[in-house]
Amino acid sequence: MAKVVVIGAGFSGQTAALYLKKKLGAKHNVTMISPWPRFTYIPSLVWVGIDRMKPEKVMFELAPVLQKKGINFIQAWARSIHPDDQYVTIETKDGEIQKVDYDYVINATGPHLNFEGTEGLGPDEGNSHSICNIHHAKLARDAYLEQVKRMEKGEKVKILVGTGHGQATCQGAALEYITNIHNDLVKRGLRDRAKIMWISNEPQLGDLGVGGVCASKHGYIMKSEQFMKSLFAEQNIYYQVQTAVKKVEKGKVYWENYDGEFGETEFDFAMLIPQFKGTKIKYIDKDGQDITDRLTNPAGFLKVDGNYGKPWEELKASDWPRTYQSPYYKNMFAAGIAFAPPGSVSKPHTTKNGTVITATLPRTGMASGIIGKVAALNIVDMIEGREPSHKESMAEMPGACIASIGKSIWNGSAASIIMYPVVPDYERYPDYGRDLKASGLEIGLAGAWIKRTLHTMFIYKMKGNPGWSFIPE
Amino acid sequence: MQLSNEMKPTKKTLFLRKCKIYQFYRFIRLNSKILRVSQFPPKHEK
Repeated sequence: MAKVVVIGAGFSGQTAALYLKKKLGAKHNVTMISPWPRFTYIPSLVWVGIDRMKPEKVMFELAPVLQKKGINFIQAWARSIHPDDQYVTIETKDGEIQKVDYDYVINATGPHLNFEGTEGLGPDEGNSHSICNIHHAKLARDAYLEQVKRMEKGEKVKILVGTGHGQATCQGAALEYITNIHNDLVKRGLRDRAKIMWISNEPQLGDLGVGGVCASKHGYIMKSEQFMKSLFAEQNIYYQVQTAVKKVEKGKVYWENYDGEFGETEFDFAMLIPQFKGTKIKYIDKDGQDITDRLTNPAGFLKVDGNYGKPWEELKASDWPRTYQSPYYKNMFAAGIAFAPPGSVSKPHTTKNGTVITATLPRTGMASGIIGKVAALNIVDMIEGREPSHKESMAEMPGACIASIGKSIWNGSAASIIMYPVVPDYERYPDYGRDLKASGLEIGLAGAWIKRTLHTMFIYKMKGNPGWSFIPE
Repeated sequence: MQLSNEMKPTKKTLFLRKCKIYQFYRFIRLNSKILRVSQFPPKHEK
């Protein structure tokens, strides 16, 4: 009997655990370790953050779902992985340290939200907000509603949304939040009392950490930059890109731009996405030596079968990982945000003062689910005596970002951004790096219906309900 | 901070974005596109 441990219960962890159990059945043991008792459907937190969806609608209890599937669930923090001795050290909520043995392990821990990377950033410091987890989304909602009350009294407020670090990712989530705020204020009849501003580390508007998207539209090739400019013009949203937020004080952010100039922007409410780093799990070898630096990249993400160390200009589609297997320990995989990308897709930039301003590649949602499935199926291959045969590079993977602009299924809207592949492949598609026939940029009510359908379908899938595996990642 | 004034949607575009019949058609088209790309991605070409 093989023992497979999945660390993390997000999109990739839950997908991996479900596929492992489906393929391995009762013959083998699948264990999930997560410090949180619930699964959270992160893409809908934008609605929680403006009080358009109740928090309980985006979560479900993991234990009964996993128990029904025959997957062991341990609610604990994973503290260290011992790849030579094949066990994970965990710390339970009572502070008890335990060992969990494994034959195969998937690190699907998601990100460490590196608020400490920017002075004063985050809800803990009280200067800015985030919608990266349910707790933060609830705090953001409460703070946003306070501003709504001020506007109802006739006051004018400044709302700032974007990225809170020069190397932050997930601009798509911030984009959804800012457009949902616009839509919410329009519905409340308060839009004229808010100055809404976008600040981000993208090289240009609409980059979204994927180097921008192009699509054929009305006989022209449209860039996501024009698409986003049009959206911001329509919604009267001010914007500033090529900017790293350096410090957040109460009511004020201090930033540096591409030219190395410093400045400040005042706000009454700010939601700024932090830098994502790898979770603080140590890797310890058989001699008790900490080998984390060898197994992970400088940001703490686990290195897998990618080609690391190349400069941005030389990175090719073929350098991106395909099996998500560690090159050092063949029974160790990483999925979702936890794997180390070989580099950024967006053009990196360093200011004359040495500040790195680079939008990093999002590896959430669709990509997370696909990678979780690939890692699980490769482990199944190995348990059954085969080499890992499942390969899905992000340079061969489709991406669909349905960015909500309003939740209502009657008069809501969403920007549908479809691309293939996520990581541009200039050898296959020399002009734009992507297949324009497969790419799309569109705004409309249809997107709101898709967003709502995805919410229902993915929660259904993640619960492992009948037919879950027929729903694509 | 900049405020763009480029490519504001026309009244026709705004109407089409809300038109339930047209948007139902777009819903089917977009879903089939997403499913087609995810399930049958373009083949490798030299």
